[in-house]
Amino acid sequence: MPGHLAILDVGHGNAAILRTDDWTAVIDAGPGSSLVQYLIEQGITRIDEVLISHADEDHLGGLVGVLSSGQFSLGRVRLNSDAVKESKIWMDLTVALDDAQRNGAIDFQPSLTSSDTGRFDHGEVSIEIIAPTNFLAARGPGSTDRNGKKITTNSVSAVIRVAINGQRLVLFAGDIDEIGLDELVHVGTTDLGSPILVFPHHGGKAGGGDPAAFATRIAQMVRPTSVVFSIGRGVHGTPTPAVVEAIRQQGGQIRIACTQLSEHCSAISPKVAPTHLHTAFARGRERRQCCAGTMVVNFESPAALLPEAPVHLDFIKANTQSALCQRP
Amino acid sequence: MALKIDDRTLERIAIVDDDKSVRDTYETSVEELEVEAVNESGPLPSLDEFVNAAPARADAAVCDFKLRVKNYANFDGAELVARWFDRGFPALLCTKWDRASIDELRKYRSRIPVLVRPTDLDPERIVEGLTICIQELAGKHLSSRKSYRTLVRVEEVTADRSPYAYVVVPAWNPSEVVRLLMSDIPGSIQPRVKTDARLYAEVNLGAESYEDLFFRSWEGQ
Repeated sequence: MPGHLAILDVGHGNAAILRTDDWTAVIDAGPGSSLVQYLIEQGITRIDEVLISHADEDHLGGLVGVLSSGQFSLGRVRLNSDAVKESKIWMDLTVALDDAQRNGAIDFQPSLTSSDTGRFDHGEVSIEIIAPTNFLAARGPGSTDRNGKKITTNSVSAVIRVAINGQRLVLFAGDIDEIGLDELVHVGTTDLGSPILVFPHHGGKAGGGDPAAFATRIAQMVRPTSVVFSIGRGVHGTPTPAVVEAIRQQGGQIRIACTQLSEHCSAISPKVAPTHLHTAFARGRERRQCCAGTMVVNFESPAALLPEAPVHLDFIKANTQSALCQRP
Repeated sequence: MALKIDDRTLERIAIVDDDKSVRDTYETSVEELEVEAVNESGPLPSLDEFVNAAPARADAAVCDFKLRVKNYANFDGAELVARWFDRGFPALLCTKWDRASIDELRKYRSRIPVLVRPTDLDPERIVEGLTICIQELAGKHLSSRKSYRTLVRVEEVTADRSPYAYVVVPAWNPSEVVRLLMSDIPGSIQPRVKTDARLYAEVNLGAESYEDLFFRSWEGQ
């Protein structure tokens, strides 16, 4: 494929790949073998940039697989420290990254903040690190924000916006929560505008607040034309119906696309193999769990989010009884 | 009549089970596909002999895991199906998925493309399963069957009469502990299998469930 962006169907989790002729970047590395399988299928052996939004396993588990596979060389790896994250996979990953750094195999630094905007640009691709701010990253999970609220792992999630030839393309919102958004407002970053929004926290509850109010707030800051929910069928009940409804209430024609078919939309999987999916690897393809599957934007036609809306809609109409994105 | 799957034509399917009533049930499912069922009434000869004998009279097989009952055979179905895989003969392995059976067959799992519950063995499942087998024999693996070198962390080792290693494969599922028979891990690696050890092996990271995982090509760090 020519220069492109792939929002990978990894099941419940996030992973995206940006690729030009001579450069590859990975933004988040969801769990399982999906990222490894995608990279192998695409013939990619070099990953120049790896940006991990935060320390949750559904955003980083696949990097353990990439590192330990021995099939890829990596350049820079950036993520933020997280003192409250006690998961063993977080230890597995940090041990593996430290080991690779000591061996000179990678350039690993535990830092990814808004000060890094521009440092990962390559050719026509610009990468803007919108969050976390230096302040929030320095305070860190377990501490408190400017308003005395407790900062969580999600609060310091990186929010990354990608532009192609100066045109904004996609906003990867990681798992940012209300505290993270409050901080952006505080520093005057209220314009998160982007045509595509990869919705935070897979459309589930981001923190303890009202998910519909949060969805409304972020939708108004981003003003997307497409919203992608990166979900695993039957896992965690995502996207939350109230979140999808809040997005639909924003007016205009916002396309809503889930990587896999939510059980809210259909209790049963499709009877026949899907024909609408992009050819790129998708975790749910073989078990007929995809809805939009892996979604791709070719840089030469950035307005088209593949699979395109009409064929995706035909699939939805043929295979769901009450799709969240189509309910009256 | 015959069943055509990819470039193979299946005219006869062998049915291997110690229980005649089960064989008869399977036979009905096979015959619904308009394929001749070859009912292996037993007792079966040695493993080496049967590995070669069945493919001479059938094009594929449906085989139960527990074959030693009532001296029907002196080997288990898992080893038989794996040996058939090595010689390019497609076969489905039937098991009730009890945990002990899963432990016992895991060392052969990389060469057993499909496990089927006996109650699920209808004509549709036979075709679906044999298609997976035949494609895997042709080198076309499902993503759930492709193995990759990956980190394996040892959580606990028990020193019972049948020692087990409890391991986590972080790149597969960091939350699930997988029980392995220590005897399935190569002898040269076993001394390194200790609590909190981090080892490497090839694992099918796309596996959907615990039962489908296999491990091979172990490395000590």
